[in-house]
Amino acid sequence: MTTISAIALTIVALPAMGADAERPPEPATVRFPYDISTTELDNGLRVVAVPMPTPGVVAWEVRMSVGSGSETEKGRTGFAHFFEHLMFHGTETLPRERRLGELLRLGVDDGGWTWLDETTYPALLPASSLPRWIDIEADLFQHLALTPEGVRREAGAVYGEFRKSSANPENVLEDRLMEKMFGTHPYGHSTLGFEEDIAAMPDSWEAARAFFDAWYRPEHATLVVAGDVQPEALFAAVTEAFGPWERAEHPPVDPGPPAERPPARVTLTWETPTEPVLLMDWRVPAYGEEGHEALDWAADLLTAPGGPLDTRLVRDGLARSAYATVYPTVQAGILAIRVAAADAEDLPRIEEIVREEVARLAENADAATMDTMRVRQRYALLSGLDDPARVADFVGHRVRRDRDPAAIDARLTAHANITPGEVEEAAARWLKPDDAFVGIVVGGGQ
Amino acid sequence: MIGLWLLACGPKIDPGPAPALVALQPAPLVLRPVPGAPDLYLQAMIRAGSAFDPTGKEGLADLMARALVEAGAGERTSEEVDAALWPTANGFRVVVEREWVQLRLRCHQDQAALCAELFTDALVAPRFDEADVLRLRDRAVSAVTDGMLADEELLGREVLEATLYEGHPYGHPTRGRSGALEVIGVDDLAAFHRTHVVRSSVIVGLAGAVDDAIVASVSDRLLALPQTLAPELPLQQPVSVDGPRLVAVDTATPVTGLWLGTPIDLDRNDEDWPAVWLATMALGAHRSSWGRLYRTLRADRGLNYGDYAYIEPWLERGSSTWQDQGTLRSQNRFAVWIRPTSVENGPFALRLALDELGRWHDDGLSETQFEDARSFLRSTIPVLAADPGRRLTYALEARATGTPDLQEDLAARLDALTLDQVNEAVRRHISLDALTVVAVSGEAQAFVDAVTSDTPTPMSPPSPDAALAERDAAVAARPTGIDADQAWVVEAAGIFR
Repeated sequence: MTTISAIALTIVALPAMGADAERPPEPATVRFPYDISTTELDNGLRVVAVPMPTPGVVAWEVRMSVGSGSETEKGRTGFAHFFEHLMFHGTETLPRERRLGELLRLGVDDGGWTWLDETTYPALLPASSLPRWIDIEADLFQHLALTPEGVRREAGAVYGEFRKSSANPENVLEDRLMEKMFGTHPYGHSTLGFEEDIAAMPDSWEAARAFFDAWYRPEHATLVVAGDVQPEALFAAVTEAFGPWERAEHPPVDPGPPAERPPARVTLTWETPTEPVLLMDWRVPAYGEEGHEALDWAADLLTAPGGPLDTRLVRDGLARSAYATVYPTVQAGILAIRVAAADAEDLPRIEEIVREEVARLAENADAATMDTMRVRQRYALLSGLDDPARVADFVGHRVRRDRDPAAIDARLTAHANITPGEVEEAAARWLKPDDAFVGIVVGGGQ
Repeated sequence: MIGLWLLACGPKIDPGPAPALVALQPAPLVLRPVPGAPDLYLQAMIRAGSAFDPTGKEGLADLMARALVEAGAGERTSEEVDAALWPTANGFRVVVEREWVQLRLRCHQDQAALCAELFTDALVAPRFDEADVLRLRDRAVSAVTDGMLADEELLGREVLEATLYEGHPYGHPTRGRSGALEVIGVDDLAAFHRTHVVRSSVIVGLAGAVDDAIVASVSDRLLALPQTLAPELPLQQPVSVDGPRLVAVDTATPVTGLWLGTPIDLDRNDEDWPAVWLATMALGAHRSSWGRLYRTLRADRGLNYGDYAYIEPWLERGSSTWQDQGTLRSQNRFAVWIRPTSVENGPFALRLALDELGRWHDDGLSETQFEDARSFLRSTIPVLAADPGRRLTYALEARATGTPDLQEDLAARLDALTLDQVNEAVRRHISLDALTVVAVSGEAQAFVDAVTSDTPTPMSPPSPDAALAERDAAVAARPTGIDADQAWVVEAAGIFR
């Protein structure tokens, strides 16, 4: 067992807002504002502690490196998410009802979420409950009690979630667009899964068992505790409780990188009135790949206050809102732009403006705006990271992907030093206006 | 008038001077400095929620509140406000409920002076620039038309409020009605601000990195608030009904979601409040898996995604399972949220929810349920206010509404409870005899027909658990008590016109 401690102080040497434009910006070193201690158990479980001044409160997170993007088996889409539900069923030694009662007495507020690359189990709890909680979680991740009855019952709840989601036109549009972008690759189906696969979940106990055996293993897990925690005591307790967790006998099937797909267009007409929305997505480098960070800047440059989409769409009244983001996904990246139109008739004009501005970015990424954004990024780290749940999420997100907490500072630093030229280059290469996957939803009568 | 209102409802605060003098005094400033805190938190509670909307201008309060921070303030246009805030990586948060508006801003201490200026400008010197106001108005219209239709669970909640509070100041969505919004102009916003955002209706709080200079600057700037008394909020009792009733909203989506509710006469000053709150959490803690409704409908039977219960308005705090503070009303309602199930199982879900509600109400919590709930709620009190901003919101809420600060006294009030007190308090304050049920359904008429008839509506497919079969058979045939002449189908489109 090795222990690494990334000593962190503060962020240094960022150019101040309004710095002399003639002078090239000094290279900046960015440091995450809390100490991070990590260890890796012999079985491959990564454990991270982030002590913070939150007396009596800790945030806990187990991140499993399995999401809907890992679902390679035909007819079994939605299983990663299904497991997020099944993980609340308890174990033989602590069945569901008793587990619930004990969590209440411990004051544990727990939950779960699933996306393309991961399934995460966060909890917020009194620091005094942490020792017992470690034992409860270690038991659960090693000895989940899966019964055919439990699987059948939970499948109904998943169907309920699907119904809730499919009542929202934008969710339906997004799913169809992902299908166009990724085809039969697992990114091509929604995290909830195809409806026919959800309908078949009640009788999928054996498949569930196999999924658990393949994926719920220590080498796929990252455990983060932020808040009122002592790293050494945490590592000792986790080693004892999670140490017996065995690695998988075989690595799971790797879906491989998604194939290239031709640009496509989806138009969805909803039966009832709904806000007209335009989605424009580009396939871009994945998290950690060359160009990903520069495109993150591109997204911000497009939608910053006073930036081109804010000015030409929102301020001019064509759109109610315009957002852009780069998904931090690991198998393929996506730069997604979402514009809510004031009037469905303006959608073609809005799409044209987005194409124009994306093309313009390849010619000229505004240096002054980028300097302001550097200040913003600095304060995004300094202000608002006082919530242990946010810190656990911030750290867990990165350590699960990079394994090494030192990568946090390295990536923050690399991100802070992206130049306008790099943004232009990435935009020219990855955001060709004609490569966009376009989705439109309009309501009945529009 | 606000001065009298504070006097009437605020046993925990100093009664202070006479109302006329209240109007002249500076707006109260609540300070919660935390040495070494990196951030400054600026918050205000303004007694100018949607219940103050003039008839025919529903949506004015919400629009005014949003325009404080999105339509220019002081020397800055809205673009300039955005540009000034953007490097801080923070933004205004505006929360509007029936009675109160909250304005919040957090900034790193490096930017304290800038943020204090932006915050106070928004409160005392909004510009209501016309192009911005029209843009916000357009967005509000969209929210109560297309937005509400795209979020059928929100639609259900608003139809419940509108039904419970028909003809009452709470009876329309905070965002307003689309037809009314269209006639609201810039002058209306300015007049509403002049009347409702005055010294006697505003309470400001500072927390975290608070220093003397910031306190002086904020205090000084707040003196620009008018020295007038804020209008009173005349609240009649909600319309009383004799028996259960049903409003079924017809939509295009093949699911059925439910909201159930009834007015209650209870607020946080009532000695029974912790008892009824605890019991309601045990019945259906928001987005949590331990409530009885959740266990019965979702965990045991997989009928839907979740089932929750409330005795106060519940605006979610981010994506957490907890309530955003500062949204209190002086009149409350008991409400139950049954998330969508299949159209086929809608009637069974209603009967099962009514059955579980009845058991909870009549038989009460068990000793274990009571102890577990108390233990959980007690241990989460510090977790709920892990940063200075949240602690400030609790303090402001208490000061503004004259109710106890939950961070300070909830633990002791919970400790003092007994199981009998809890179960008796539920029966004393909540009656299930005249529930209003709102169903949002792709098959509204069929739902009405099914739940107003004696024909059993079993769950399909039946529960896999044989141990539940007996209860399910009884539930499927359980009368809902809703008469056919107390059930109405309404079209979703244009509902908040």
